[in-house]
Amino acid sequence: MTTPETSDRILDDKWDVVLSNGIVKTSLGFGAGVLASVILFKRRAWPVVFGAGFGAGQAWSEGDNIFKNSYKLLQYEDVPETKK
Amino acid sequence: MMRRLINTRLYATSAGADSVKSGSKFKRFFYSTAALVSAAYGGTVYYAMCDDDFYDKFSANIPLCRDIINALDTYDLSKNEKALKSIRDKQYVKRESVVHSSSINYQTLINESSMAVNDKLHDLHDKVREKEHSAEASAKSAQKSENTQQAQNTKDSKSTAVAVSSQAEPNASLDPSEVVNEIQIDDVDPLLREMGIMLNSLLHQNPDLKGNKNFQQLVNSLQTASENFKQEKEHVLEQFKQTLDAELERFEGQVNLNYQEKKKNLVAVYNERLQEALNAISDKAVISYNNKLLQQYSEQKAKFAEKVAQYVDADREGKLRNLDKLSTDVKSLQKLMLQSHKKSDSESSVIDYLVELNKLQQVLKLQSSEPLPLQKYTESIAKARPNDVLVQETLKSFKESSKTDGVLSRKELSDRFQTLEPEIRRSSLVRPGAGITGHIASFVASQFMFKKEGLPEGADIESIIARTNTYLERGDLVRAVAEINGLTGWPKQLAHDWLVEGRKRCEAEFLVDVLSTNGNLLAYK
Repeated sequence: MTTPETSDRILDDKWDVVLSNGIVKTSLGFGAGVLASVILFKRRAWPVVFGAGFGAGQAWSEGDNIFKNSYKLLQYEDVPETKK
Repeated sequence: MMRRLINTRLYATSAGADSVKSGSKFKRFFYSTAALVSAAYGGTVYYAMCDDDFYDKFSANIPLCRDIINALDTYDLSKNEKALKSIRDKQYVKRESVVHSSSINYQTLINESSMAVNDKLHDLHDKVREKEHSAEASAKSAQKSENTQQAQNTKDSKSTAVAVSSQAEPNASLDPSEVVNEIQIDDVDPLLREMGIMLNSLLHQNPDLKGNKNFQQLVNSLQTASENFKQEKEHVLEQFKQTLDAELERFEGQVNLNYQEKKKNLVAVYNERLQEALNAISDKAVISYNNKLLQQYSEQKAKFAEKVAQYVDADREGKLRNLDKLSTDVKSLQKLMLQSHKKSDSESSVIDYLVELNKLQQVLKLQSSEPLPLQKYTESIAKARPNDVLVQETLKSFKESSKTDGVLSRKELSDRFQTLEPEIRRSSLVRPGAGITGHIASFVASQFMFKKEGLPEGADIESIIARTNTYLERGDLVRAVAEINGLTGWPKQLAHDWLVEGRKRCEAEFLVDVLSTNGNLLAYK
């Protein structure tokens, strides 16, 4: 996780990480679903939907953890120094 | 009209087919998923029963697996016990059947021998009857010739009697000890006993048979046969019993051996699994206690950090609030110094001091977008008044970061607050520790909040933002910083840097005011 430049950018940085993670995980799930659909399930649609949903759900769960843990870390750790 | 009706029916049929198709798809998906999951679970359970290492991981992560495997083991054990019991029952039934079949064989032998004896008895009985008839006929002929041969009656009758007796009883000269009495047959087969009873009755009916040698031989052979049969039966039964006992003992030994071995294996497996379960429980307990300790440690650390933060905030707020008091103290100190000051300082040093101080004031008044370091100016001021305790102590009060990094201008602080304001507003409704949902909800709900202006009262986020904006427009940075310091939660975290910069700016301005006042006093003197 990158260090935020200023404190007012903390949430924006978290959102960047969460959204990029969501895109990556959903794409991976979608790709795996397409492969499974083509190779195993005779080009049915449900493996694609299942894979994409699985990736999106995983990304959502990780995003939740990122937001929840970030507030706790801010309570325990020093806020980073202001940019010069 | 007809075409319209056909089209309507066709569309209805295709829509129904689509709904049925989608329903069958869902069912197929559901059943295939359930079948795959069931197969995977069953295969995993089977492999866990075979591999103990895999059983540990499996039981730790998959629900209900431990119960299922224990139930299967219990079922296997009960099945083995039932099989052992059924084997014992089968052996018992087999033994009984062997005894029964042997008794049937002996019964057949007895029947055959009894039938043979009966045949002999019937033959003997027929012979006796024939002899009786012949004896009666000879007696009748003797009575007819009695009248004619009166003189030789006694001699003839004696000879006839001897002849009859010799015909009826061929062994009339038998020894009295060999005369047949009632046959005594005890403890033999009922058929033999019946045969003996029959012979006895025959003997009672025909007492002449007592001296019959054939009858005597028949009786003797019957008794000998019964005794031989009895002995042979006892002998065979004894041998059979010994064989059965040996076989049973050998089989029981084998079964017991198998049972003991199986029991030993099962006990070993159960002990091993019990030990593993105990180890897992102890590991889990250790991990749990460690987690609790870590949690307590983190809670204590958080409390400590919170207390330190509160103390620092209180200290800084106290400093800001006591600026007036500090200013009064400095002024009184200046008065004291004025009274005790000796006119040793030259006017040039005062001028240098005022020039450097003016430079510092100009730097602070610059509306630059980047902060300028103050170290150069503070060092120059310190060099201009090296012996002035007030100046030196005041310069030491500058923060190190203010000297090296500089302080933000009022314009930059105002601009940064304009950037910070929407962020604070968006996160104002987020509770601490919220996830994605909380942030999205706060973002949406904050769009519908009414903005306030001026100096509204209240501790809500819009009132605080409005008051801060107003104070910044008026140039009252100290009050603006105090308002932002009153925020809590995510808004305060987001405004942390702005708050630090605002405090630095306020402290620097205050210290420069002190130095300026001191310079005015020096110039007055």
